[in-house]
Amino acid sequence: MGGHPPGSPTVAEEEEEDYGYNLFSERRREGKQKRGFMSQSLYTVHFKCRNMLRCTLADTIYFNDWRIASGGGCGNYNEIHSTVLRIICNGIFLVNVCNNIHHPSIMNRVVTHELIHAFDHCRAHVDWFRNIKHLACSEIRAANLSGDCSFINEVRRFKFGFKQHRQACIRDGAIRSILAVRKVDRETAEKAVDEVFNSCFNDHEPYGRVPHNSKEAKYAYRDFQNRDRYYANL
Amino acid sequence: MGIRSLCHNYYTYGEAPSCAQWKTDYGNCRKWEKSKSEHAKESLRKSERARILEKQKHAPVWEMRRSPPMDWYLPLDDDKPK
Repeated sequence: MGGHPPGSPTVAEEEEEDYGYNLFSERRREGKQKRGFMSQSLYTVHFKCRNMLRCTLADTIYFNDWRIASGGGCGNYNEIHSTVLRIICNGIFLVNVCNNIHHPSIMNRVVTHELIHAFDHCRAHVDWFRNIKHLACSEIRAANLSGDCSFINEVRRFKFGFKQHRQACIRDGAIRSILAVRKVDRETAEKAVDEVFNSCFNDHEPYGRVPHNSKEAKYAYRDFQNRDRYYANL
Repeated sequence: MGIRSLCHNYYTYGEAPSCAQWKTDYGNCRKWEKSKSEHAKESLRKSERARILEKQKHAPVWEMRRSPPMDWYLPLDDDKPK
């Protein structure tokens, strides 16, 4: 511990504040390690993860989500299928995903989260790298619409609030996500999230209303299919 | 259904949902289905337009695109000029 100037965080505090920014391999200082044969073999987490991702993408609900998202304009499902992994990698977080996902329902949630980011990228000029408010807005929407902040998931994380707790969860989730991908301090992230919260929390595109389960997601897809008729009638 | 919607709304907004407008809309919808009433149709349209306007009352954070980016399938590049 010697050698730290007075007032700077100790090593333990620094570790605590690391939200995963340094886990992206390009940002690591040490040289890239050679991946051995065993790390590519059938029974590793990586292979299981890829299979889970394939299952998620084949699952109708996410097919529907993507069809809705492609109402944002980005290509059809067949074109996208082979590049979805790359879309998820677009500045966003596949690196840690395969280390931590052990269940298909978690994979479903993560893929939905990333698809919301992809949808935002396709429908608006989002300045992912230079404007932290744009990033904050997309994170708020992704936390809101992907089921990350449902009551059950919060209880699993041992956070037992109820009244209006969803907003606190979304706020915290958005701040954590920003800190994981940008090297900014917590105050900047909090300020950005607070500034855009009202606008982005209420923006439920491509869903009409926040879906709480797969049945509601199906209704949203049905609304999407009927949108021409809806707007013609209005 | 009622209790679930109550729980979700309380969890999100801290208060019980107000479903009066939805109930009116449902009544109008049934009236339209049975008798093709113009009044019911107009009320429904008015209510839906109001709902859409309500959603749009917050200014968007970003500028909307007119068409999707040509390179949507490429990885994002932080050095590329916008």
